[in-house]
Amino acid sequence: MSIGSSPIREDAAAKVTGQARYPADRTPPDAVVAKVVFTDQPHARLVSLDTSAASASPGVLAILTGADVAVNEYGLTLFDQPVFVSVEHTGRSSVRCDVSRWEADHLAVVVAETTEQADAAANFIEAEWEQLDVVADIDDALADDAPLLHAEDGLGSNAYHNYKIRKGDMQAGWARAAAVVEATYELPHQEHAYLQPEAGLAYIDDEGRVVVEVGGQWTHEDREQIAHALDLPEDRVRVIYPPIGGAFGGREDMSLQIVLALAAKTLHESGTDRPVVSQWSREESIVGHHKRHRGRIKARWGADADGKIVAIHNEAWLDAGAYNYTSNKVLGNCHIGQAGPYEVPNAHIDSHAVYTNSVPGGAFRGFGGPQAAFVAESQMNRLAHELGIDPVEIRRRNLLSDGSIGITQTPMPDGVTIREVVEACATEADFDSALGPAEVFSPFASLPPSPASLKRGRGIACALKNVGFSFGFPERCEATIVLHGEPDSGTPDRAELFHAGAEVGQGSHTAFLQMAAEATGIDLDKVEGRFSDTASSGDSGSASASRLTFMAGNSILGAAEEADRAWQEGHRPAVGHFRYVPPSTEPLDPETGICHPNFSYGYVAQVVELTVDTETGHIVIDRVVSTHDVGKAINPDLVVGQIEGAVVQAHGYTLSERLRVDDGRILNPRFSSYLIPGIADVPTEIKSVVLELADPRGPWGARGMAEMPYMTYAPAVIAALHDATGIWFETFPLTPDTVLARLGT
Amino acid sequence: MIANEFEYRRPTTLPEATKYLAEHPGSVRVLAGGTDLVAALRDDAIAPDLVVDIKAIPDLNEIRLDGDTLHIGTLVTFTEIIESDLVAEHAPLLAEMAETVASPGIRNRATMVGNICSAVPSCDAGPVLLALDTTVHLTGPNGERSVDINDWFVGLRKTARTDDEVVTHLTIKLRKHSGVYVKLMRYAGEDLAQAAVGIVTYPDNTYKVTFGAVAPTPIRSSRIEETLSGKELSDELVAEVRAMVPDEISPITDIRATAEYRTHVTAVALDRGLWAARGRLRGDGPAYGTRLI
Repeated sequence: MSIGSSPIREDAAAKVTGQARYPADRTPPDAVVAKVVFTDQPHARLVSLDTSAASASPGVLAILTGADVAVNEYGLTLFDQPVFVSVEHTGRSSVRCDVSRWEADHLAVVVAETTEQADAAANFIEAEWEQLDVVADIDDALADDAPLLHAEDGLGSNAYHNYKIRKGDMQAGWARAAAVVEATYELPHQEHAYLQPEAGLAYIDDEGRVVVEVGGQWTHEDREQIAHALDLPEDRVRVIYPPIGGAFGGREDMSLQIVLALAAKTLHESGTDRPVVSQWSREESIVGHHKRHRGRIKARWGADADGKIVAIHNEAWLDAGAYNYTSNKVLGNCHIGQAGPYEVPNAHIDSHAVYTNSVPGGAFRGFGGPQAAFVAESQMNRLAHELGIDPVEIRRRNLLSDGSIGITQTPMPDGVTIREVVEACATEADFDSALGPAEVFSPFASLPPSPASLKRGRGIACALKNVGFSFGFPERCEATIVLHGEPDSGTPDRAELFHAGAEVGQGSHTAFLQMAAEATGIDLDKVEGRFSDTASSGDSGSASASRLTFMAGNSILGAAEEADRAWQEGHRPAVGHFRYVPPSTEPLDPETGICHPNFSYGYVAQVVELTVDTETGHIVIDRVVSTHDVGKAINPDLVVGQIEGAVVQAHGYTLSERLRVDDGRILNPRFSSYLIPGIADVPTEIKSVVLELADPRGPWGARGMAEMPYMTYAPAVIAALHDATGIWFETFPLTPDTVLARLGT
Repeated sequence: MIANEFEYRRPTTLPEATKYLAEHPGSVRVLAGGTDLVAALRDDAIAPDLVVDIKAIPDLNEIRLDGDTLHIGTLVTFTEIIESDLVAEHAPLLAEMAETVASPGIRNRATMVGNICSAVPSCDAGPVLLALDTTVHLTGPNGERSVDINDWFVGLRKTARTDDEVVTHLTIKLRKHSGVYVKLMRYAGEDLAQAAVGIVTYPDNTYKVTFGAVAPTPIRSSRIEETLSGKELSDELVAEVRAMVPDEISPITDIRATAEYRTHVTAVALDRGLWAARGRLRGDGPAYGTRLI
């Protein structure tokens, strides 16, 4: 059996020995350097731009601006972002290009012999700006007199994307309520903080294609966007992903892809055939790519005396920042996630994505789900508290099961296992047991054994998260398997797998090879991977939405079957290609939200135990029990790796990471001022509980799981902190000063 | 990248070093560990015409005991403080403080003297050296001089050192004592202090009490010291000095903490620190190096 075991990762040796060459390690000897110049203007109109002095600066080969780009627009789901802010441009664009709406909008690219020369020349670019009122946040954006940041969309509001849920009879629901809980929650930004800042390499290959080697999450989507901006046929662009230093959703949108391609193409056309490299500093990375959305969600929930939910009324606003990125999609996920994994008879939910001059919000592990789960689970825990019902018991009375009608008024896809997950979590965490005395350790080491200032608490949260693209977004995944062997041999002796699915550190390629070995019956060490090159692989879709194991697994199963058929027919090598298309999904109905939003879900429950020092506000997370139905663990060690990694990432979101954005500018673009947890900060114990209850559509029953451990951590911590202190927190990160201010000590 | 260009000198003797330093008054910086200096250059926070690297000057990296005086050279790094047997035996408070500084990689380069020459409000060495009987020894064009640590910090990032002087070493007069350094940080990772408290106590129930990151410079509180002086520690006495803290410090609100939080936790740290210091003197306190908060 190749699946269900944990062989050493296919990339482990190269990564631990330093042999793996990440995008920043691939600079050819004759490369020139491209430096992206940000506008540094959260909101201003470009009056004039003079690059003549910069062009004359030593070592400069080219200065690229809006005048050099064929189609001055891009965007993953809406073309609402100019490649360059420019006074005038020759190409097409559906967005007004002379306005900088974000401090990291691109003004120009300097191409020079060396980094130092490019940096020096950038200082000579002269731009004259007319300052416009900065729309700093959601409140600014929704004010009556707010400037419209994208008037071209014709909506007359910065709240440019809106969803509704209208389900049941709210009045009848409220009439049955024995308890009502109401709160306004403020959700913070989060930075992806991947190890490797953006970097890449572009050149023209032997076939005249523009090649970009870069870290991303979806080779074919990168290719499409590059081709669009450069006005090239897609087959004239080739995207290759070398080893990628983390992504978490932060590489789903463009960073250097288009400008690198543009630079290589422009040089080539002017007779200079030299590769172009570019690399962002950490500060440029943090300022220059999107974040997890900050937002505000108002929630009013009612339950009857037995704890059954009778009505929920929510309104949510996500700060999309200056451009859409994937905000419309994130908003959809956040929208339906606000009902939690529960049967809700009556619901009224409005959700809005709002343009501001802040850093764009976009994809980040959980994709709008964590914000929604924080609210749903906080509301559920408050209802339990109000009604005096145990938090596990109140969930038993409300959880979805097979056949349940979901919040979008259609049946849940088969394989609803949230009940099993919650029960397993409560059992493994010994949820009903009394908490022991505060452990005396690390930050509290020298305190007396039972100091009055230490208090302990325990909390639970659970959630569902979709696997795969939602709301009718085209979903598919392709794989090719080639079987090799002698014409007269009965079984192939080796296989090749061609797949574009991105390895962003999660171990996807190892899992792909395991699944290919399993599907072909060939030993794992006889299966070779050819990965992440648009020239050799079909479209896999992105490494996102907890979808790759599910989607790639199904594509590999199909390709293996096709290859086997070819083998039986006598073809040598025997080639099998397959494009897996899952059950289709639908967009939300604009008035009611009715739809089949998703084709598969993963389920999670977490119990968190913590200790808080009520005299200092310091919190230590003593134990996390993270419970998941993964359907089938293709590689159990990698599953645990995802659980522990997601918990640590969520720990930073919940406890220490505070992005400071003032009037559209990020004030702390460094890890000395934006604090991701260190090893001494993370939970003392993370217990991973892995259930394998098959998803009927999953390959070998596997479900996606990579985002799920992130979903529930913040609400579980908040519940545990309430258990310890009696105070509900509506916002986080729970930095010591924030906690202490609320405790009032 | 460092945008500003500067001249770089690497003298091998002290007279040579002070000669260079005197060439660019007002626009010269001394390079020792470089962990503050290079960061400031990279940020364009400073733009000196000349940087004088003193690492090639011999004999500046010694830790030695001269009778009842501990000698610490200007190039001694925080790691060397942590690893020194002499420090462990005679002034373990220095090692307790050094272990809280940044990360091992930084501590391998950063010098303790450099820390008090940069003299940022949160410098970890400041409160501890102020609480010990420390003298700073300098040499300049006009010869050698020494400055009592109480006269060293003269303002935000300003010290008694003039631009043409090099600190050669510190001396610490030793007598029986115990001490505590409590450093509040935003998380357990590498961080500057939000607030810090240094305490040294002696068998006669006298104290030195110092604070970091809650005023423009590290400071000492003679009022609190006098209130504690000669008395056995008690809940009432601790409550009395805790109540004095807000008047003794002048914290600001910045990215690391609010002024209110700094004031509150400084009092908590003083409370817990006093008990720990007395316990250490009696022999039943927490081991050096354990965090009190």
